[in-house]
Amino acid sequence: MTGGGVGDFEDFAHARSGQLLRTACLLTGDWHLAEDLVQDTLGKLFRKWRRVSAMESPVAYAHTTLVRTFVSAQRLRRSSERPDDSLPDTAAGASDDIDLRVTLMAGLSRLSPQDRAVLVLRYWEDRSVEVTAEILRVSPGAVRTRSKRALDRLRVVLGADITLLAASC
Amino acid sequence: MLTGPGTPPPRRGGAAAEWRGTEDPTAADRFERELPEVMRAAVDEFRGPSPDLVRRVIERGRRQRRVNAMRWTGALVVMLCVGSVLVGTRSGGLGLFGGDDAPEPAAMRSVDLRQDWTGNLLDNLAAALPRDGMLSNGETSFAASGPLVLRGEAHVTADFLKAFGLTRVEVSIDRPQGGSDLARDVFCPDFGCEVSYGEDGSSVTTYVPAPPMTTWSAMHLGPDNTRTVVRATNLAPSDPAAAPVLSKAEIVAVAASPAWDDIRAALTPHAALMPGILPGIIQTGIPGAYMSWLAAGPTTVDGLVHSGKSITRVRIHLRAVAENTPLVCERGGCEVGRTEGGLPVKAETYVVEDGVSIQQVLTVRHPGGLEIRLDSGVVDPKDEKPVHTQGGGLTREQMEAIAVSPAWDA
Repeated sequence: MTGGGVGDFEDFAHARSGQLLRTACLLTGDWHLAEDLVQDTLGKLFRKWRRVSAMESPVAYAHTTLVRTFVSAQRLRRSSERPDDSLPDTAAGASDDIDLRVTLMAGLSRLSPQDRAVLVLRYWEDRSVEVTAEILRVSPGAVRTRSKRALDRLRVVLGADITLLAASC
Repeated sequence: MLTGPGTPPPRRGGAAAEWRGTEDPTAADRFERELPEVMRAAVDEFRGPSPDLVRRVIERGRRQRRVNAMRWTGALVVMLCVGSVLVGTRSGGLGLFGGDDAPEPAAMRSVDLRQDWTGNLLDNLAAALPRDGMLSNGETSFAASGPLVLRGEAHVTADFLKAFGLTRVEVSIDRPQGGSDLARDVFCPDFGCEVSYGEDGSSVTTYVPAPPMTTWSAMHLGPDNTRTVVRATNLAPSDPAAAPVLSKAEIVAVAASPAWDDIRAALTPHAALMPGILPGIIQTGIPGAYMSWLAAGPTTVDGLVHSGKSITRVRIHLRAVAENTPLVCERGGCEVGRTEGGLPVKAETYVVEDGVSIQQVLTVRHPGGLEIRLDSGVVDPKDEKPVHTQGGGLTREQMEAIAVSPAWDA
């Protein structure tokens, strides 16, 4: 990535907003919240674009900013919101894929934001323990602990037969 | 199903890579292995972003820049007026900053560095720059009154607007090892590079690049062992390769400006920063031990501590915190207390049941707001990979000896 003008930023944002939105959807569980999160993230990048564009990997920087923005926002909101244990409604006649998505999203929504971020970084973005720890500003040991705990909880919600769910796609 | 818009990022050696070669998985293992596939399948069904998302981001960013520009303009005009009153000069002259009748830089600086935790270097930058322009989009970072060991480098960036263009100005100041020697023997081999030497032992190196490179720079090495580097890059979108709105002489003047003197005085020399003092702390805290380096940054060091036959992987992280903030345990395997010397301490243990490592984390808060956090885990001396063991690494006492060392506050 060279240059640091608005045109370059526009190209970058168009090319990367889809991928950022998918990660944001997994983190937030809601398309509108996810788009807000992506908008905030890209807004932060825009303000520092000249420096960001000169980095070795602006894409990695964007994803790190997205996850950190999500975790910070959840910390701020935690004191004023209560968790809701009810599962989201499933649309009548939804396809298997939609069922799968709802089941996965419902499972993720039962986890704490930090645990969700760990799973998304490890199993969707395929980051190593060390990189995940760096992004979340915690120790690698904490990532391993959170990852195991979150997997156990998710397995309880989704059921052990996740292979069947995956095969149904 | 697994291609198209939901295609995941390229493999980076994460969870998926760790499964290669694993045989006979349990139900939990199988669940973990299949999770990425399930996520990909689910993500395929997500809606894409709104078509106007990027346009909204850019509009909002531009709006924010305008607000910042107006805010800084207002602040600088107020500073100018206050400064004018203080030095008793009459108003008038050219440009926003009052032209020749504007107050001298010393009168414009209003930041009390002893009181100002965050250290607002934008005031110093405003004093160092010519007075016929306007600053906006400023960012600054320097804890002038923070712990000494964290005061390694001061940094400020801002956009400088003149009637005919806009330039991004970046200034960084530090105290490198051998500063005065560096000033006498500057390495300047490139075309576009010039060096001049001052009678006081200082030197200024300027660099005016040939297109398409666009960043002009000046490096001032002072007799007080300080290094001030100024970089100026044109931001005009119509001609990105154009020269900055600052001339070479003006960039040099910013680098050599006395407006930075109090910042320079507050900087800690490189030898007194973490990488400089850590070997001594390790040897004093654990007699006979030494550290081999992996990576060192301004606030973190990752390394291996060799003690007897054992090798421990250690990460030391420093940060400034508000004084008297209590340490709190948020999970089990954690205790909060006081060291023998009375400093607040938090000890945590992370054990990964199905993994390979046990990690000890010790956090100590020093007076003056310095927090030291040690992460340690035993590694195999053969391949330096983490091993599962309760003993052989650093003891709690050894970790504490490192964390409480008075050398951190020296």
